Amino acid sequence: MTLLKAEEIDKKFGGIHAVSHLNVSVNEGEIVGMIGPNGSGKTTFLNILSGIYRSDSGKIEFKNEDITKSPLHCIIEKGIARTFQNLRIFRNISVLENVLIGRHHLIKNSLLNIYFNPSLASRREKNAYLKAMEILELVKLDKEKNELARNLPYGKQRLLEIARALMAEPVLLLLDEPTAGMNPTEAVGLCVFLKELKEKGFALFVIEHNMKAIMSISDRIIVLNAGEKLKEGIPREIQRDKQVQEIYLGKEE
Amino acid sequence: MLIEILIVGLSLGAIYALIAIGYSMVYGILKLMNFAHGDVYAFGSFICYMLMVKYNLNPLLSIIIAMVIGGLLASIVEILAYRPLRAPEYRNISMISALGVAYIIQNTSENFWSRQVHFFPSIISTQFVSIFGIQVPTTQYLTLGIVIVIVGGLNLFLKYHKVGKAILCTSQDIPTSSLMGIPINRTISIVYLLGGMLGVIGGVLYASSYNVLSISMGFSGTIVAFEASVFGGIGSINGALIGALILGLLHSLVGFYISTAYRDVITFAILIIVLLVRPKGILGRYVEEKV
Amino acid sequence: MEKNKKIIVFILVVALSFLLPSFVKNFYWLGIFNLILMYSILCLSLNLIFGFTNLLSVGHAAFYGIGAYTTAILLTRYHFPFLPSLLLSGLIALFIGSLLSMTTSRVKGDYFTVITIVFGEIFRLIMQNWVSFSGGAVGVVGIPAPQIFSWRIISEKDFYFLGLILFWFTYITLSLLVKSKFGRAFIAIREDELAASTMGINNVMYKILSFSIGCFYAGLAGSYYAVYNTAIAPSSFTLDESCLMIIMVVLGGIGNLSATIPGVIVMLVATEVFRPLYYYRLLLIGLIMVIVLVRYPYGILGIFNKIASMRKKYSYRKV
Repeated sequence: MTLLKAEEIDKKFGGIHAVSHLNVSVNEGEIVGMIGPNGSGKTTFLNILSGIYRSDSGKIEFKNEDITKSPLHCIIEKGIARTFQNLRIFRNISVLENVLIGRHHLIKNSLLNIYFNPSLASRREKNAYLKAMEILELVKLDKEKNELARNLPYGKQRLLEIARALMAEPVLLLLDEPTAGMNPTEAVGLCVFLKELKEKGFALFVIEHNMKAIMSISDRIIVLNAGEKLKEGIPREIQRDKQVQEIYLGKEE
Repeated sequence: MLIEILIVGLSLGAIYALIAIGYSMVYGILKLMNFAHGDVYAFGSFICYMLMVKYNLNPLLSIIIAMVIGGLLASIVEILAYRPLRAPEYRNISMISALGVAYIIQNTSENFWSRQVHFFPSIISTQFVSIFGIQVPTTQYLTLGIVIVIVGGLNLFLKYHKVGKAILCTSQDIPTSSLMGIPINRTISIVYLLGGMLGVIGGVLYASSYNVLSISMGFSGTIVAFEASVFGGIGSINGALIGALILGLLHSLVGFYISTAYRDVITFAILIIVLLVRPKGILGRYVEEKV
Repeated sequence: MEKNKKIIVFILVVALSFLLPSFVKNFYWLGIFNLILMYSILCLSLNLIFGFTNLLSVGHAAFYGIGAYTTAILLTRYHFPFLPSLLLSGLIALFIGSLLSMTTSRVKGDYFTVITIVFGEIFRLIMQNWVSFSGGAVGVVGIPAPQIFSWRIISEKDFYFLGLILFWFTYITLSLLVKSKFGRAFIAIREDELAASTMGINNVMYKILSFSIGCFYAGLAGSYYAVYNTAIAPSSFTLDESCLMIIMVVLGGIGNLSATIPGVIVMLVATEVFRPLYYYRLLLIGLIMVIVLVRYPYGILGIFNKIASMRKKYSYRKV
């Protein structure tokens, strides 16, 4: 079943045509990877998908609902959560508080609840806490739950960001270079984890520069160059494709 | 009658421009609302006053000395109170620090010169010149002329002089400029120095045109600088000029046709509208945050 | 500390605070406590706005004033009973606060701060010039002693209890708020607005909420001040007052409600100590502001104190 369908997405920044007539779809339970040289528009496209930028033209459908014009803070309710290329965790609060913020749209406490129905409010908080511990155990951060986010080593901070996104119970996760800055061991560990997520039923859309990683986890790969889709196919095909090699390595003399 | 009001407004705006430029430049580079800006140049203007009136020094010499002192004070303030708080997450804290500095300078000035309104002698003699059949006081058109020359010179300086270009680079991207060998700290000090100096010229011109000098012009000057920067586009020198001219015209028109008491309230209301409708002002550049 | 223990300690503290006047009968000291209580209310609410949501409002005194004028006018001119006036003071301050924040929450943070400053000044100017409404520079005098049902609040001790009730109300309700998803949303906005949005937080709405709620408590404090002082004038609601509140919040600790009280106490003591040096008062307050901030940007008792690494990172000193 098609989860996400982005049609004819176009975005210009002044004179720069960042994304051009892009058509991308993601199906339930699959991992789609997006690769391309620096500046090819991958992050811009992700930003459009997650609602940070609005495309100049085109349509985005998620679970058969048109979300093209959805405001940024509503996207997560639809079932799409994301992480950032340059890591945007909440640095000055604890790991636990970070992931609890991820649960924000699912904790239905209103101001009235908090003051006039404290038992219900605290029960909901307790449930959120339990879910938080569950997710933290999944990413193996449960022992550091009270540690300030900024004190974690980089690799764990990346996991924290993913954990925070998972707290929102998304159907689709958008990951922007999740292995950036990781050493090979950490990257492999992350790949294993991402495949586990797929088994649990999550759909993933991953931007990556780490070829080994993206090839090992993706069901399908989309290659972007200068804002346009160059190729799309299974990892093996893409790896062998001459044009893809060219845009990364240059023409053979 | 209207023409005269407009001319008053323009020359007032010209003075505002001198005050606004320094403020706008600092914000453009460091994203800091320098609340002490007004009090710094007010202090400088008082120095000029003291030199002229108490020590009977030549006006031009007094202005120059006052300019230097004002500029130096601005730079010292930066080094002591702003530089340690330059990190982007200290944005709000640095503004509070600026407020503290404003109080320090204001209070010091008060203790030297008291809160009362002083009489500031006219530097430019009051004569009238006929332009297109309208009697224009020399002060007004001279003020406008001086400011245009200064702003023109500043534009040339920024475009062609090594230090000016360094300032432009720093205002765009500090880390990269630093990597390119631009001495960031020195450049920023120069920006504050210039801002302070220009502010003192503006303060003195104002005091001379209206023959009043008081400590309170410091704070109101900071507000004027902010408003002018919002109208014209913050971070841009020419924007500060345009915004200041508009503000001057606004003050002149509202002051005459409505009332001086509610002039500030009306300006505030217009400011809010501008911020809602076109926050980047007329010439402002909106730099999108890289995600 | 285990949760139940915490609650017991808390109840003890509350109980002791109510028993305080049995030990302290000196009016001078009770007066100081009353001031501490009132400024604590102001600073706790400002901490919500600034410490938790990172909205630097240097116009909090204006909402303090709105509350004060509301109660003063209702009590003197319309002979309203005190309790409804108290509530109205808070609500009107909240309402005007919401208007201000609605128009400015989309604006960049730095601009927002200057807007609050200008707003504060405009408020003071209007109160100073609109003589028929506010009494002009003289203000409103002869505010009657408040009465809640049969309890007449006249002595210093009576005002202590009133202040204490308002204080604990403020502290408890704000504590519940910041521990909830709302508090987390405010903190998320403070830490990273974009990431907060991505997590489903409507930044504009929460900023308006935080600001408006903060203004409500400022209005309550203003109401207290009006009846405590029996007279109010625009000169009490200046930019200096707003700055004092800010420095109290920062000194105590941003994002830490309990830490606000020590911040209040330290600054009140400081201003009392500096009172004989009247002409240098603001200078010294300014000096404290700058020196403390440069050394402890997030307050002496604050939770994030990493000036050393930050200073090094951004000093661009030639190596």
